[in-house]
Parts: sequence; C-alpha cells; structure tokens
Amino acid sequence: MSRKRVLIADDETAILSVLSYKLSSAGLDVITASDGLQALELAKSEHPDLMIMDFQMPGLTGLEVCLQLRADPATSNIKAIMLTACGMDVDQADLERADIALLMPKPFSPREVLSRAQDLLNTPCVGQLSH
Amino acid sequence: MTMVKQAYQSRWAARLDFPSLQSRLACLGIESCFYHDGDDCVTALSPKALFCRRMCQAKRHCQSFLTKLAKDSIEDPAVTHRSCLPGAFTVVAPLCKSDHDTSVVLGCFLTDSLGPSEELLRVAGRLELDHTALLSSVVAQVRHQPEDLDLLVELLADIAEDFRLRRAEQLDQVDSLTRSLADTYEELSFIYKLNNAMNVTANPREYFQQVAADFRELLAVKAVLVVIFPEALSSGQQQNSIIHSGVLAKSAERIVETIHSRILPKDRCAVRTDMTHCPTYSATVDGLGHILLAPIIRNERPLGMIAAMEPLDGRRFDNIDCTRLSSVANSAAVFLENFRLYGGMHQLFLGSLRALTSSIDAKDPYTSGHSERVALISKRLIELQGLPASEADRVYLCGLLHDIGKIGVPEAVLRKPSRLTPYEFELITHHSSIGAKIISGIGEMEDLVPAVLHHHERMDGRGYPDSLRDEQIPFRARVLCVADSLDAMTSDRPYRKALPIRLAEVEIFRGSGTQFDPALVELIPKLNLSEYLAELKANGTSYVPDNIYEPINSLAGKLAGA
Repeated sequence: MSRKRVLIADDETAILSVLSYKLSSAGLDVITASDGLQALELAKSEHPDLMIMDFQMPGLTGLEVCLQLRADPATSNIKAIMLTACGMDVDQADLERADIALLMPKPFSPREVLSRAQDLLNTPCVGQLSH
Repeated sequence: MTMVKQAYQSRWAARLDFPSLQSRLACLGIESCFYHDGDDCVTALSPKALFCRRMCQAKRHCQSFLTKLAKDSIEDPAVTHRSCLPGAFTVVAPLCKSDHDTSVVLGCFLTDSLGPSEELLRVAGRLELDHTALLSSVVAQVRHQPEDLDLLVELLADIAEDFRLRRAEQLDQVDSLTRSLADTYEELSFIYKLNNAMNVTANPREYFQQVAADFRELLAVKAVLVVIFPEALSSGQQQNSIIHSGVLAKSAERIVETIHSRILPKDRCAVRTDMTHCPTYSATVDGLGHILLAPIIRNERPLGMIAAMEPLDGRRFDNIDCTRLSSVANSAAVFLENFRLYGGMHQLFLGSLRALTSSIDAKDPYTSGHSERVALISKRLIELQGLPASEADRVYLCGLLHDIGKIGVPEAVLRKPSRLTPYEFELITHHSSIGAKIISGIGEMEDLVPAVLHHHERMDGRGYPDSLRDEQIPFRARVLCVADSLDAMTSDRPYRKALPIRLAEVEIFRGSGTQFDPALVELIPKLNLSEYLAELKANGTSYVPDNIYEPINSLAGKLAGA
C-alpha cells in the first residue's frame, strides 16, 4: 500500500513543523502550505488523502479552501480536519457543507491530531467505496 | 507533460536546500539537477546550462535519460559517470538515503572535446534539434580540460558528501528542536485541559481519574497513582482515596504504603527514586521501580501525593518530568483547596437557609420542622418522578423556603387557636406572594420564585394568589402543594389534632384533579409515607448532603458560573 499523503496548512510555522514532524515520523507523506491559496493549489496538484487546516489563514480561510475543493469532483473526497483558535465559534452548518470531519481546538495535543488523522485515513470514505 | 515535469521544482529539493548546492557547483562550472525517488523525475537545470537544457528539451530524450541514470545509480551506486556525447559527461552522487527517501545529485559538465563534429551533427539530427543553435550553446557553457575529468568527478562527489553531512546535521537539529516543540505543545494542551476540567463542581474522583490517565499518556509511563489524604476532602472518611491509571501488579494500597515514607514532610517538589533494589518494594511491585513522586501541598497542608511509575521506553525520569509532575501536583492542590472551600460554602449556605426557615417555624410552634419535612417529601416526589438529582436538590430548597413569607403575617393570626375571620384568612394567603418577593431579591434563587408563589394554587383554579389551573401551575409548585398538604394534615394544629397518615393519604386521593396534580397523587403509594414521616418526626432529622463526593447540585454550577 502506498504512503498516505497529508496536506497541513497553517500560517504558524511552529504548528506546521510540529505537525509535519509528528505525522511524517509516523510514516505519512506530509506536504505543507502556509496560506489558504497555497493550500488550495497543493490540494489540487498533489491529491492528498487528508487535509489538516487552520481555520483562520491569510488568503483563503480553511473553510473557503474546503468549500472550493468540495465543488470539484477530483478533490471532493479529500478528508478534512480543521484546527480552530480558542473560543472560535464555527457554524455547524458550515462544517457540514464543507464536509469537515473533525474540529480540533487549539491548543491541541499533536499526539491526538496524529491518532485522529490515522483513524480518518483508515476509514474508507463513501465516494471511494462506490468505485 | 515533459515541460510540466521539467519546470517541476521538487519539495524534497527545497527541504534539502538543493538550490544552494546547485549554485555552489555552478561556480565550479558543473551544472546540476536533483532527483528524488518520491518525485520520479529530475528538477530543472539552471538557466545558464544552455547546452544541457537544450538537450533536455529534445523530444524523447534527456529528461528520461537523466531520470534513468539517477534510477540506475540508486540501484547500483557503482555507476559513476557516463558520457552521452564525446565531451559531455554526467555524474551521479548520492545526497540522502533513508527508509523513505533517496535522493541524488546529477552533475553535467562539458569538456573542450565537445565541438563542431560529425557526431554532434548526427545527434542534433536524431533529436530534431537546430544544429547551429546547439553549437552556439556549447560555446556559451563552461568547458573543462579533458584531463580534469577525473578531478571534477571526485570534486563533485566530495562536495555532495560534505553537503549531505552538513544538511543531515542541520536537519537533525531541526528535528530535535521540533521534537521538543511537539513535547511542549503536548504539555501545553495537557495543562490547558487540566485547568479546564478544574471546576469546583467536578467530582474529585472523576477529576483525578482523568488527570491520572492524561498524565500517564503525556509522560509515557506505565502507571500514575494519585493519593488523596482523608483530611483533604473532609468527608469524614478515614482512609486515603487512591486513584490510578495503568496496570498495577499489586494492590494500590500496598504500593502507597511502601512509597509513602519516601516523601518527607519537608519535601515540596518532585522526588525521583529508584526502588528496583529495595527488597520490600520490589516484592510489592514488579517492574515499577523507577518512581517520580510529588506531594500535593496547599498552605503547608499536605493534601496527598502523585506518583508516576516506570517510563515505558526504559528511559529515566529527567528534570522535565519533574517540572511537569510538580505543575500537575500544584493544579491538584488548587483543585482540592477549591473543593474544600466550596464544600464549606455550600454547607454554610444550607445552614443559613435552615436557620431562616426555622425562625419561621419558631413563630408557630405547631408547625415546627414543617419546612424541612415539606422539603424532604418534595425531594422524594421528584426522585420518584424519575427527574435528575439536580432538580430534586432544587425542589428541596423550594420546600425549605415555601413558607418564608409567613414572616410578614402577624403572629397572632398564625397562632390563633380558633376559626379565622375572612380578613385573617386573607392575611394568611398573602404569605406566598410575600415569600416570592423576599427570595426574588436573591439572584441565585430566582428559579425558585414561581414554586413559592404558587404553592397554594389548585388544579381546579380555586387556589391563590392567581387562581391558576392545571398546567398553568408550575410543576414545582404542584409538588410543593402535595407535600405541604400531606405534612399539614399529619401534624397537630391549634384547632385540631393530627390526622392518621392513612387518612391523610385518602384525603390527598380525594383531592386528585381538583386540588392536586393526579400524576403526583399516583406516586403517593410509592412514597411509603408512614414510615418516612414517622422517622422524620421522631428524630427531627435534617437533610444531610450525601457523601462529600456528590453533594454538588445545580446551585453549585450556578455559583461557579457566576
């Protein structure tokens, strides 16, 4: 089985390095983006299996990136975890619309992000099953 | 597709900082590109490498030629250099090799022997390249002496090796910094979680169970043990409360007994001990010999201790572990202190309420203990109804306070042994609205007001003060009404003796639907009132909150949120 690819997008470099360290040590193939536009571009060109995105990013917000990806059948199956700043209120309807599997409030535990990511990667999504 | 691949700038190359190696080699007249097995194609050559780039742009040629060369060299590192044309050479040197990644640098250089020749003409023709343009690009690129070839190959290998080592070292440093950053994040999120869970209304056992489980994971140890001394909880129990996470070979009590002596009263911070060779201990606990222990202390008062036992990966506890344990112990101490203070405050609150209601009961000696009994019967009714304990506790308070308004009714009327005049009766009926007014001034009791105000309403609308009917009457008020009547009928009054309980129950049944809520009347047989009331009246019991672990009701939540 080929290595699963994960796209991590956050404008905080520290978070990017911590998460990519944690996920790549677990054998995942990690690519990173530091803003929303770059995240969108990489998601389209690299076809990750999972995205872990900050909610608030320059360029496009994590939610906007997700919504754009959902509109394209080529990228609509990418699973998504959203990181949110403390106290951030995210509309449940938005989450469903953008098909975001999980919200993780900051400060998060990198270990927990990894285990949730692995759980998600190990569950086949509906779209893949029907092929 | 070829163009796309040529323009491709590998993220692996960026991670290894290949561009800096590329410019170093260019200074020596060696053009280079980068191959990573994850990309499966080579990166672009520098714009100065005119000849090489032109060759690469040729159809079906150089891109795949260079990629194949790189792949071959990964499989067989013995391949050193190849000549693709007389005077044009390619050398492959390894840059990075690990389980997941393999990358190489491809150096391309030209020698003087490359020039206008039959061979070049032939190659240009085969690759469909413009012969003159190809020739002019040869002149534009640095060309070496043919005898320097071996030296150049060696140079490239040396530079690549040096680069590889230095880069590996840098990446190691970055990795180790990132690792400690990840640990810090882990710790931060743990402390955050710990503080968030630190609500005075939390059940200490549940709180510490969570702390032990989370801390065991954070520290990666076999077991975490939390001991709370009885005096910390002031619950009247004599023994330590022991909470643990992880597998303990022997009983937690035995372990605590053995390690307790390790903490001296003067110790304030974490202590590391190795008990693997302590005969009494190792007999008790197998494989949990390395222990990190911290006292839980608040205002010089020892409240308990917390121990982390045996790191999972065979490492030893270090200073970072000590700091972490100390901060957990500090949080635990704050939690226990808050819990104790809150418990005291709650007791004080209930005590004051009771004092207030007894002063009402004292105005009318015949109704002594009435409020407390109504409170208890109402609480029981709520429990029988299957409602949550928090609601039962709230209704208990309603019961205590329901007659508080009698404070505003003349004593002569309350104590009058003969029949009341209509005016006197009206004075009495004011007590429910007076009571509602009194407690509406206390913000925390706002939700009790409707019950107190309407506890004399009747289902048929003939009650007071507002002549409400059926569902219009607040549920708590309907409960109070049943409990109030039950206790009033079974107590002596200035104008009559107490009714036998059986008879009182019959009266309640007769009032079902007119005076009382039928759903509540149905609960009467389950109430087992004769025993309950007899017991209450015999020993004048007042409500004692349950075990200190669970005395907390919704009021506590309100106070905490205020």
